[in-house]
Amino acid sequence: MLDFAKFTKYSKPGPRYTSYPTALEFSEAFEYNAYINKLETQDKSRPLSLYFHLPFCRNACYFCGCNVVFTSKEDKMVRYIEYLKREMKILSQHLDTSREVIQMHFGGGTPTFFTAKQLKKIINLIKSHFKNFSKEAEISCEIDPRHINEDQMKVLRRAGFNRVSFGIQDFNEKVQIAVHRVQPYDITKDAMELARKYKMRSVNVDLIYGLPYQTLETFKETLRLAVSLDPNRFAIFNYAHVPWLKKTMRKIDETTLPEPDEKLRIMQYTIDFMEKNGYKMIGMDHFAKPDDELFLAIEKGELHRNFQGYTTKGGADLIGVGLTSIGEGVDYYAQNIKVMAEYEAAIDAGKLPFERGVYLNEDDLIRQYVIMSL
Amino acid sequence: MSNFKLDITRFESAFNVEFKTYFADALEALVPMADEKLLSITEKSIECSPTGTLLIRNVAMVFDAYMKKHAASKKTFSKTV
Repeated sequence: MLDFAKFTKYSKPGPRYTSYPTALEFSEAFEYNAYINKLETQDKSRPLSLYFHLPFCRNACYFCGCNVVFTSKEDKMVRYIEYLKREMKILSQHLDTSREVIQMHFGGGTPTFFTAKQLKKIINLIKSHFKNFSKEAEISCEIDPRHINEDQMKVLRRAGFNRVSFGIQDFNEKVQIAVHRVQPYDITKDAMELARKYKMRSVNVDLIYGLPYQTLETFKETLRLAVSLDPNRFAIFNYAHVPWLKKTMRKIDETTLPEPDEKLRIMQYTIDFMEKNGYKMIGMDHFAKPDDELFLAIEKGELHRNFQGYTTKGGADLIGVGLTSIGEGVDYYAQNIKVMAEYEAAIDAGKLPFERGVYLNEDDLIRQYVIMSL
Repeated sequence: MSNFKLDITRFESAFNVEFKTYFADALEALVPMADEKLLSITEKSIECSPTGTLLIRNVAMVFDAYMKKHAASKKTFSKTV
């Protein structure tokens, strides 16, 4: 058993290292023309990984750290598709889109807030620009179990999507109410069954620990229920409480958040419980079954981490499309504009909606290698 | 943040630097963590123990050149635990 008191001293502010340097170092010092130059001079033998940000949600989940646009207006979404189309057109003037695509991810927001028809339109637009998808491409979508129907799942599967991740976070009702995301077990179960019906190869779930009112006891029950759904992979994130950055997090009563020693207990229990149930830990916050390709990648020392999570698909240049999306090349990170009106204005002016980023010098590259390996 | 392990030999063949010279400061900062059995350090590798994996962000921070700049401000990152 761990001496928890001894380790709580390690509780201090620190990055999660989805990138190094972290997004705090992104700045306008990395200028538009420099970014365009990076895109135009990329090594064409490297494959592409594509990320599409679909930012809309109807309501706020208070724990969410993503860049989200709250709306219930259909016309805003139709309009966004039009801008994605135009962004890709501009992108294709600067990027060789005939390069092989080995990975694509739809994130949000709530990607399945778009109707089946709209999703189909988005995918067709993508494929009209990026025609060289690898047959083995890893194509994934984040799904809110409360917003998915059979038509949407069918569209995703037919378009080659083979991985879906379902947001659960926590099954405890008191926790769900406190984070403003009430989602009964059966809704999650039905959504996951739909994914299996359409033969998604990897059906995954996301949980979060460190949420209001969570205790080791409540989280045990959440884990038990989640394992009963037999996901291929689990992402079990440590809640990142940053109310100074995220307004909706200010609605969370900080006195209800579990203390560091309780969180360490939850972490340790989670690792033990997952192992007893046939899952092995991968990286910081992921678990998968031992036959998962990620473990083969670990043996070869080829496991990679990027903004989309852990993957075997290293060595690709990541291109982000849509509001606030982040791209990553060999020696840069680039982020799109975060404000919708400004995003649209850039595209109206015939420019990529690039806002900021960071160019990696030799020291950054060295440290990036060490931090990402660890 | 992927393997909980750094292969120093592989690192040195990827970059033309000697690890223990380049990261002398970081190696020193890791000593208390090694004493608490969060990780083991040899000439060839740095490897986290199971407890160390729970605190991998703290281990990684030792190698982050930008942490000093942010140390004065609390309102930057979420807490590691």
